[in-house]
Amino acid sequence: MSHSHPKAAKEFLRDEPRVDWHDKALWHARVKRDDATSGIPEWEDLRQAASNIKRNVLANLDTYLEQFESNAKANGINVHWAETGAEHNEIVFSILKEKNARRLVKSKSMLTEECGLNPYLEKNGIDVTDTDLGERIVQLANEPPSHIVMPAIHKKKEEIDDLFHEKLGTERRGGDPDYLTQEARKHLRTRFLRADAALTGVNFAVAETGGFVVCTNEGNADMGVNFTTLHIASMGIEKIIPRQSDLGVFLRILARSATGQPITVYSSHFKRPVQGGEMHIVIVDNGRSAQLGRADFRGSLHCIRCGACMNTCPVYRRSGGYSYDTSVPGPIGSILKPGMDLNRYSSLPFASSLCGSCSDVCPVKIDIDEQLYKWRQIVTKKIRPPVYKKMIMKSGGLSLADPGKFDMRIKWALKISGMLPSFIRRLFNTWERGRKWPEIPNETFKDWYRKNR
Amino acid sequence: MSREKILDTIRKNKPSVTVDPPSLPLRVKAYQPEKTIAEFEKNLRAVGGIILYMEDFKMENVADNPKLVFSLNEGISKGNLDIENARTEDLEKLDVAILNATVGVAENGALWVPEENMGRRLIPFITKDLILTIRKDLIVDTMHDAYDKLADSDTSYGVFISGPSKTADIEQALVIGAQGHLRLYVIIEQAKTQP
Repeated sequence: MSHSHPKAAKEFLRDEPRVDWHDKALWHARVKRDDATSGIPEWEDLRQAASNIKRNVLANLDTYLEQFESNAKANGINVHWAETGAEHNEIVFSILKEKNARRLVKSKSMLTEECGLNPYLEKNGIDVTDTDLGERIVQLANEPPSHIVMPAIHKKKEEIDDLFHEKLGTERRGGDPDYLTQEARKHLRTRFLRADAALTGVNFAVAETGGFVVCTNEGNADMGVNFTTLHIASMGIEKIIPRQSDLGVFLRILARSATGQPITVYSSHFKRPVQGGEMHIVIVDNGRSAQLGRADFRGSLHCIRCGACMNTCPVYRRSGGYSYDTSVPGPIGSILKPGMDLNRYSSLPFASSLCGSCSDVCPVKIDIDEQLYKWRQIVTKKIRPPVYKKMIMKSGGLSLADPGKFDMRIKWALKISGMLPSFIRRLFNTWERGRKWPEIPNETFKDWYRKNR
Repeated sequence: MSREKILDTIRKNKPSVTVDPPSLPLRVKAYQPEKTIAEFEKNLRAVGGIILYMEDFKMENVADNPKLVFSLNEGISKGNLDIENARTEDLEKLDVAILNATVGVAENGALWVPEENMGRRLIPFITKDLILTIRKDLIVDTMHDAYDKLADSDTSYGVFISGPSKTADIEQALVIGAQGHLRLYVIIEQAKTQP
């Protein structure tokens, strides 16, 4: 089944005040990002450095992964490889099963969303608790995250008030964020205390040390990992960086781009398991090595998942994360997903005004807008466009190739369009569905010019 | 085997041209201790940290009658947590933890705490109030400088901590005190005098 971004966005757009609210909430994050980055005079140098490190990584990905693996093993970490999301899920489950671990606490990992880990584990009898507040909110609401950094950005505080009242038995206080956060803290403590295992994502894995870094604000990742003795970390193959000193570049740009903080509250560096504990890393491909082979699109693998491109995108802000039907929505999701399933995600490269703001804010300098444009060309060639679009393009092409035909058709178009009532025009002209039809002049510019020169 | 399959595909698909990674650290300005410390204090306050001075430190200014205190800095407090025998459930009741950071970063107020300075890995996160000490001469300008200092460190687990735990997951309203430590106090100590 192919997914249609315009159709899904239409659902979101039904509630106009909510769209305005969502738009402003995301723009707020963009403004914070601007404030944080404008204070760094060497910001552009940092972006270039980050981009060069990532380019170096992609050209040496195999050797860095092998280096990371051997160093991690020497550090006492178990390393697993998963070609697909399904294999990743099976590996995680087998680790849990072997240790007889039934209750898992998770910190935020977009990769596990991509792999569909939660439903798989739950089907197999594992009790899974997402411990990031935003993720816990959407988990309790039985929804996926709508943003990679702020998973519950689409929810109003009153809705969270209702949700917590129903699921956690909190008092109704109109959605006071302080109260709800304190209640979530208490609730999640009970989950940490009884947990058998913890799963985290990975922000950066360092080839030369075999260690990895997890960045969080709430403290839930370290809380989960250190309450238990079994730590599983899931990472995509592109999370590798060569040197520990490269972290200096990435930790400077990540939080500033994501939330406008100078750095996340916790930047945790894991190198060896705790004494008596166990640490596992699952390295996941799931289509990434194929994307590496597409010269025009491999740059998308630079992504460090900061979300800045979403916060700035005029389309994302007004269509919401769910309209993309992907674990990573927004502009970056729209260049990652067509590589995984072109048929299903063929509408995503068109969910953009090509304004280029995403590329401007991207801290690792991905040319997102250009990749969107290139995907459009592939989609148009490989996927059959709607018949009407094909006809319009064909007839448009004929008109533009012949000045005589062009003049004649323009004259007829002016006459006919003025005669048709707007509801008829809108059947053919999608542009007019959200806009006012302009006043149509009686003559073309060419005719006017002939008379008046 | 998935490992071979993944690595083979990467070898086949990776770009043939490579760029050298940049030489690091990116240096922006010369180190001026007084400016660096002022910048550290400013940014630490901006992320919600509270600065205390050793000379006029009083425990009651941090926590009202704390029952359970863990300290790795005897100059400040001896503490009363029996770390050897404490269970996780006991740590849950920890009111104050006093730990020594080994690097401070001016640009973001972050402080590096290696595992050796935690007592237990859970301590800096589970305590309600966290007090970190940092020696003036261990405060550097940027994260590049911080990793320079950590180049030879081989700690199994270490954390940069910048301010108290926080969240903005509910309508982007900033809430200080999420799941980790609720407050962060930082005591800036004088640099060691040269012998």
